[in-house]
Amino acid sequence: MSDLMLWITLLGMTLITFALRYFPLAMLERFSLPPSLHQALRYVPAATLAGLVFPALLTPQGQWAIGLDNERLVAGSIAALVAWRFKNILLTLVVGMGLLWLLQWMGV
Amino acid sequence: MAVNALPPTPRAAFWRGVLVSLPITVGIVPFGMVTGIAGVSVGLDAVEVTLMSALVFAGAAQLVALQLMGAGASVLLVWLATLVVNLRYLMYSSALARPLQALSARMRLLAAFLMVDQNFALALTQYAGLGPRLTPWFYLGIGVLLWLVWVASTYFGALLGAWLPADWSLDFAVPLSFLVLLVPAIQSRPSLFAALVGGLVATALVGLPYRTGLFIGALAGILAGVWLENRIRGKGSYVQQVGGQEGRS
Repeated sequence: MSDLMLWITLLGMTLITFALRYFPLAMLERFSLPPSLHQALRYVPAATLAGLVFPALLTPQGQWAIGLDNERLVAGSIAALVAWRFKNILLTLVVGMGLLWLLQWMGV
Repeated sequence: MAVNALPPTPRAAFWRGVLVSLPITVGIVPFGMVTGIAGVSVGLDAVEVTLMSALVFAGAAQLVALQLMGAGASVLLVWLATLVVNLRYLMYSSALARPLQALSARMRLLAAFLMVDQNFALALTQYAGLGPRLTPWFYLGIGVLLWLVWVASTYFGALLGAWLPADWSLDFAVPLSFLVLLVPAIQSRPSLFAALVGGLVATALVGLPYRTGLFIGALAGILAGVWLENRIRGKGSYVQQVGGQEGRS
């Protein structure tokens, strides 16, 4: 990506994010989301975040890899349990990365 | 305890916001560092990814955008991803309109720029006690501190990422960070269903160019969640309560 494209990308991201944060706030009571959109928005985090997590664990090399030899699936599943139990980002990162390194080291 | 007493002035409310967000930074620092590492791993330099954090100030959207940029996606696709991942701010912003009503037009620009999950949740829950005069400053105190910590930790992560060897699989820290965000987003059967459908569809379509599968998966997951919620709600009053609880989160 060239420098110019990078700045265009960043500028657009900045404006899009700011617009979403600003307009309902600025329009006060004149703005309210339609109930059906409000309902759909509640599922955006679960659906998009799962769409980011699942492929990283299930298809680390681009193909389905479900088994104990898939180190990222094993490390990620245990990290998910840690995330669910302790809700702590640092602990989840340490357990997940530590397990991945351990499994990779044992596998070689 | 002094912390529980009502702050007497807007200035005190601002510092109260700074104070209550200090423990939250424990979660922000590693997330910012992962963003910095992700930035250098897709070819940005430390200043570029730090500026991205300073301007966009939205971790999940930044990580998604960096992954897409690394995969060679077009600018429009990066923008679309930013829009989708940040759609929740529409909800936050409309909910905050009343608590932040006392701010001038100019301060409202700053309040919008500093809006994140944490000050949204805290301002809304503290509004009943703090009232319309103090809540906006409490909210701004949280936002200012978290912005500073976010920018600093991104820069620190970028320096670290440039220094650590590439074969340490540091890219795995990105899905792990998403995992920590995903878990609290699943709090009812419909949201679990949305995650399963969204995740599996995105995985099945992982071969599509520029991670288009992510968008199709997200759409499928959202529809699945709405469908199950409506289906359960049609069946009786018990689950209406569950749906109501989710709406408040």
